[in-house]
Amino acid sequence: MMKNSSAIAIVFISIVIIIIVSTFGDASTYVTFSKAKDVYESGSMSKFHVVGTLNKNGNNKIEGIKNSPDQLSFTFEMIDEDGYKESVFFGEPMPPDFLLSEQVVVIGGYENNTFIADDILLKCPSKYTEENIKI
Amino acid sequence: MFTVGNIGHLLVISSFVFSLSFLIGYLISEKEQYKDDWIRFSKFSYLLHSLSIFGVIICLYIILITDNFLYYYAFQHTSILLPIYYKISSLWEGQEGSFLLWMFWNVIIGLYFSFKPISKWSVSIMVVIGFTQLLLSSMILGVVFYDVKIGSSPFILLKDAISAPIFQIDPNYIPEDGTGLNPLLQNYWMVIHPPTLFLGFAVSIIPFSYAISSLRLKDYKSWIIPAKKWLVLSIIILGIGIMMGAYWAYETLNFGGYWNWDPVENAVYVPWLFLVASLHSIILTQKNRQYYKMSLILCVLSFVLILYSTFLTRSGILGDSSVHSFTDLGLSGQLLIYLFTFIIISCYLFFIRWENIPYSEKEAKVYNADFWLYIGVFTLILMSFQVIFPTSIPVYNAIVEFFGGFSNLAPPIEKEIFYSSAQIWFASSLAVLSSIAQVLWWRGNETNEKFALFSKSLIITMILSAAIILLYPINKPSYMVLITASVFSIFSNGGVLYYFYNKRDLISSGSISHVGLAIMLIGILFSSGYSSIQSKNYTGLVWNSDFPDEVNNDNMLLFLNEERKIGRYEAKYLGTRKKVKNYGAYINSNYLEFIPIINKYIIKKDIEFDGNIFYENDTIEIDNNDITYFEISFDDGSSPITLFPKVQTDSNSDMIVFSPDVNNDFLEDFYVHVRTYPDPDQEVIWSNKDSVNVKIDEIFYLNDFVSSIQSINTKSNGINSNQFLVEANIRIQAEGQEYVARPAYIIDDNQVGFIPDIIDDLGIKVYLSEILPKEDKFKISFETTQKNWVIIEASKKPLINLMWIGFFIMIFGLSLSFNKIKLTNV
Repeated sequence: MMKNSSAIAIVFISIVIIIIVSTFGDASTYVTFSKAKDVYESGSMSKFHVVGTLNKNGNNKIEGIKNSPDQLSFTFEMIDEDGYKESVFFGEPMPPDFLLSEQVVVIGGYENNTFIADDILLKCPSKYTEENIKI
Repeated sequence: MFTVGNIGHLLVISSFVFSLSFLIGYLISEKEQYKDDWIRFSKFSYLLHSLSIFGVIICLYIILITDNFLYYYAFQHTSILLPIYYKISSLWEGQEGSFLLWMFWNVIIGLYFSFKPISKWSVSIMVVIGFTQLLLSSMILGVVFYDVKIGSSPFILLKDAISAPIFQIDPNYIPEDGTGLNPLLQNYWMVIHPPTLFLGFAVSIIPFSYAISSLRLKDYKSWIIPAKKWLVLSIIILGIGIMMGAYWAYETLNFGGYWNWDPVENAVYVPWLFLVASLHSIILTQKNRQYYKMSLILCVLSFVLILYSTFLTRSGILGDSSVHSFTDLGLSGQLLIYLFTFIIISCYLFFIRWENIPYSEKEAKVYNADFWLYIGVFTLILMSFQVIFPTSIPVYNAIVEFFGGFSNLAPPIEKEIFYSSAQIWFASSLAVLSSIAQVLWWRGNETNEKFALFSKSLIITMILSAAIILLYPINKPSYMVLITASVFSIFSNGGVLYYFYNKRDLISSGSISHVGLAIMLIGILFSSGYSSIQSKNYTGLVWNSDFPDEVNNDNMLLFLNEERKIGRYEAKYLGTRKKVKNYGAYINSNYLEFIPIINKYIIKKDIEFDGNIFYENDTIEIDNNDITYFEISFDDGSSPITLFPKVQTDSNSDMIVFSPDVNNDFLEDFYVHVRTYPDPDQEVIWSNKDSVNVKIDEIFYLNDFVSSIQSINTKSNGINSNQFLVEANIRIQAEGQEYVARPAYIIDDNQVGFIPDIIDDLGIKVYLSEILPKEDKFKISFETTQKNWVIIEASKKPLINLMWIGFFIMIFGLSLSFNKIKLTNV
């Protein structure tokens, strides 16, 4: 008869393997817009992380932000790490520190040819690195 | 030159040196024949180390409390107006300060061990503490050694930290104010949550030290009981620390709930689970004189995991995957070295002692409590692994990239679902295992027919959980399992508790903790699983038909004084409020007239709250001008409630922080927070001016509101001034109340100017634009804009109170067990 401890070990190891496999199965990837678009065009509804910055013009002014009339959602232009500019829709009110963010990570994918963000992570410089002194 | 910064830095260095000297002293005392002398030397060094750490903290506090912005740490973390309790907590806003806090608790615990009667254990524990303090104090050393920066000192000068152009003009420049404490952190939880968490970290070093000492001293038995006592203590303190964080997140930080599976939360949840696993393993070892290896490994791993989470949260490696932001002080390398030092030393000790550790081939029988406890330990390990493995994804990327590869793995998209859908099964297993193990542990010898012990609780469970599942109704299989398992756990653990209390006047603290856990699980199940958004946008406004339907639905736009349906309530936004200092009352910000004194206003009309009358033109002090409250009433026809969610702005950092307000009912919380509101800094678009000529007390209509000039006041600034000011006191009846507008007309030499007054609530800007002496009239002009509005999200969290109550029961059970563990001579 198999010993209890061997049985426990087998179950334990199988659960560990299941956890590892499901982690890599459910893990998302950091991609650029063009890659996300390729996947969308091949018929998949996969979602991704895209890292980029807001579209700023020469005067450091942010361009391409459109708020919905009821303020409940908005679109913005984001430039990914390849320098490709894309419009992103976010179905929630604009986070208050959104315009101050230095780096934006959008989590989402293409739907109806529009990039829809499920979530946005912002990296705001303001509070975490004081690099200059306001006089 | 002796400045407070120099003294502080000197004390940092001396704390480092003395930690090295007491570490070495204790190490030698273990071997030397002049044992007592070396112990005396080490005790003395330890005392000096402790005094140095206290001194460092005092120096840093002198800098912070006196607003000495010559120093970067003060400039970065505090500001003049910050109340004293936030100045105290600003110490641990920065990484350097939080290392200090950690060391402070280690020092306190070390004092206990260095002054209790000397034994081989206390010496060995002091060796481990010494090693930890050596590494921790080097993190704030701030010394450059052949171009290698060791640690980051909190005493660095502002001009050395930032190369702002101002220092080239004036090298002695000192800013007038600091950038203050992050508004997110301006909360009483910031004052008590980090110290509790770090105390938990500090206490958990003791079970680790006992395990390491057991290996070093080749004594595998006598460490069990004291380690168990310290384990229970660390589980209690770290648990309280974690739940404080959860409550903080729920009540203030607006992360949406109390737990979000953010890497920072995971990084402390996992070590806590490991501490719990260690406790259960030690209980097994204590009873059976078996499983020594498992207990040793778990105690060591728990602390290594705490170091690992310190590395995760402080190295900046989580950068893209966490909502928390961290400063990367460039100490990742140093942190990594420490982590590996601990791992390598522990592995080495295990390697050389492995064969010596007592081991038994004896197998636990299935009908024995030990078997179920044993499985429980492994379930806890798997439960932790399921969280820490995905949380470490950024680490895998870094490793692959270190070896020249490329990896773009990101954390799972819907992390709440990813984690909770797995954790729910582990939690259910724990509830069941704890029931079986407790019943068999206490009553297993009473009968050979073990199953009979469970029959009563099984029957009650079946009936009760079936009723809950059918009536609520619960329709997800995993939820059904969790509710059944939790009910079973409450009744079987409760049964044990009742049985022994009745029979032998004995309290099973384990049963109490497990009942608490089960109640907590039910609370979590309902409050998270059945949390429901009430503010569904039913207006049917879809901005763009290209967008999918599921978006644009969870938030509601409320215009001032217009009712909208939210859940079972008629919701009405009543306007912005300020909180009056010392009264706890809210006052409409439209009744306040700005004066250039911080936090003070003149009130424009008589107001009464709680029987205290404030008269027109009195000065009133408010709590904090950076905080604005939004008064929103919710009426369901029977029990109307009023909630005050708030926003805090910070002029220094442009940060805006919204905090929810919660109506806490026993059965469910109604949770409301503001998503956005008209940005006060944004330029308002006003309509064209309308004008009307009126006499004093003559009724006129200001944008449909019945109004009249009540009086005209004049002010001149003394004889030598050429300035003369005419102010109209206009009463406006609108929205069921009386507003006061006080526009002014200024004559300055030969110039004429206007000071309009804005009533936000009404979206109206009023001017006194002309004085018409011939007609004995005044010309009142006004412009209008969009009415004030706010966008809110409201949700219901059923039975969330069970979670908090269950947690307190669990802590109560653990405290009883802490008291019961009697230490002998170790």
